[in-house]
Amino acid sequence: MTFLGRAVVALGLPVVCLLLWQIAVSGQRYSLIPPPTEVAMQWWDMLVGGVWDDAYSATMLEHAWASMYRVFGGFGLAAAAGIPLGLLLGRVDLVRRIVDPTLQILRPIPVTAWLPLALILFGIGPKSAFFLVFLGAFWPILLNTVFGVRNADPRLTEAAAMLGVGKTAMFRKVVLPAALPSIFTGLRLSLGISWVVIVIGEMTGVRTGLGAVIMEARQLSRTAVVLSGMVTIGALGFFSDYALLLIGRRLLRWKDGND
Amino acid sequence: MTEAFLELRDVTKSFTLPAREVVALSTTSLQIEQGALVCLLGPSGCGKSTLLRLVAGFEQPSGGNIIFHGKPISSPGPERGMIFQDYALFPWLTVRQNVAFGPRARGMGRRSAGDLADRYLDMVGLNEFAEVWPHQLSGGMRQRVAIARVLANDAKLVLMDEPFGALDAMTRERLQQELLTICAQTGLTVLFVTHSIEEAVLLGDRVIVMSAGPGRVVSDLAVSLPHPRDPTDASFNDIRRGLSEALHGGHSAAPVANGEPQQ
Repeated sequence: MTFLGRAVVALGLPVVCLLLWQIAVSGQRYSLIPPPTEVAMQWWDMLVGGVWDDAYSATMLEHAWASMYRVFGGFGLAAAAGIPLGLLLGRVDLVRRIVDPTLQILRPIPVTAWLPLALILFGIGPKSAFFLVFLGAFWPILLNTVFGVRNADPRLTEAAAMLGVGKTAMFRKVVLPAALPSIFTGLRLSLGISWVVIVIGEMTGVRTGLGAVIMEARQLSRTAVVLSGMVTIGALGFFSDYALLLIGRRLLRWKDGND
Repeated sequence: MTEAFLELRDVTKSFTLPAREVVALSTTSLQIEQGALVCLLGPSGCGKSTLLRLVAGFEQPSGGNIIFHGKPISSPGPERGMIFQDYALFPWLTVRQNVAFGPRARGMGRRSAGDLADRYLDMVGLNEFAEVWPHQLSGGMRQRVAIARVLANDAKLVLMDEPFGALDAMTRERLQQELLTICAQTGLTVLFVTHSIEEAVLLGDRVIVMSAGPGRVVSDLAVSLPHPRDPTDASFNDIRRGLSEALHGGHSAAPVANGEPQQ
């Protein structure tokens, strides 16, 4: 299918949903949920201003930037910690036996449960948001990296050994590339989770960020602003995932049936 | 023959399972001469793959010694190249990079390793496919790459573990002929594991018949038919019948002296 054809097929469902939404709320005299047209206007006003000219006008970029900074910061930190630790855990049995039980106890604790502790440790502010995103993104990266290393095809290790690769070079020449697809799966999952966690992270009393805007607008009953924030998170999440997907395709172009 | 190219001296191999000890290969002694294509023929569980993996150095014998070129084998090495049934190409490397992998790992420069790879890809007729990924190739082509990969790495002994078992009949026949051609050109020594009697007679200068429970050598036969061999030929069939009897003799519980190789 052509790119245009795929786009038309993919956009069909959201367009239908928007139409249904518009029909459902526009017939009524008073609705708690604004119609999509009003949300679109609000979103535009938040982006460039000139419609309402209130406290929210032209603030979107600032909030989006703040959120992106925390998402990519926390995510990057999680990758920087999770990949090396995962490689180590997957490769060295002794390390796994020492560290793994602790990790398995920490892992089921949801990010929301960490929130109060994060506030005590890092105070009310962006550091806590950063930390929570880091926590949320850390686990999928770690687990998928460990999985990738441990599931590297032993046949390939044997093939490399018979071709003259020594024990020290084996990791770099075989195990790491073999684990790469799995590491990438972990990164994609984590980036998605980072966007989920950011709203929780920005409930910690920070003044900027899309999560903060949503929480604040909710208290002011500005539902169109809440929805505008949601739309922006959705779009940023989509595009950041797509960017990661493109990088993955480039790095893993050797893979059969790359999605 | 002054010194054996490859010699197994009273080699045994057993694996320890949680409940019991399994003897994969009972005491076996063998000598393989240089330049021969030797087939290891037997049903599954007869220890033929174990024997191959011992020679490759992937496994250590539980007893006895394996001497290659006068030195005991202790680990895998490039002079003993392995061809796996499932190819075991590196999926993240192109065909050329796969063939150049061994020489590169041993310190050859990128340029010379690439040129070397091209020469061997030429030999197996895949020079047009140097830039593609392994997953884009058919099974037969992948196995050709695997062969080029061990040849480019200067293997003196090529260990083939049912290399054509996963291929369709026509591709298998083609690759069998190509293997014979390559052997004739290079004087390569090949240890070839198969469970097909016909394949063993078609390829082998010598066929070693093995039997299961526990894995052991039951017969050792030189095949002196000239190449190309014709499977419909009467003398071919005589040999086939003889091997078949040796195989079935091994199957019956007849008290074949444990691991007594008939050299």
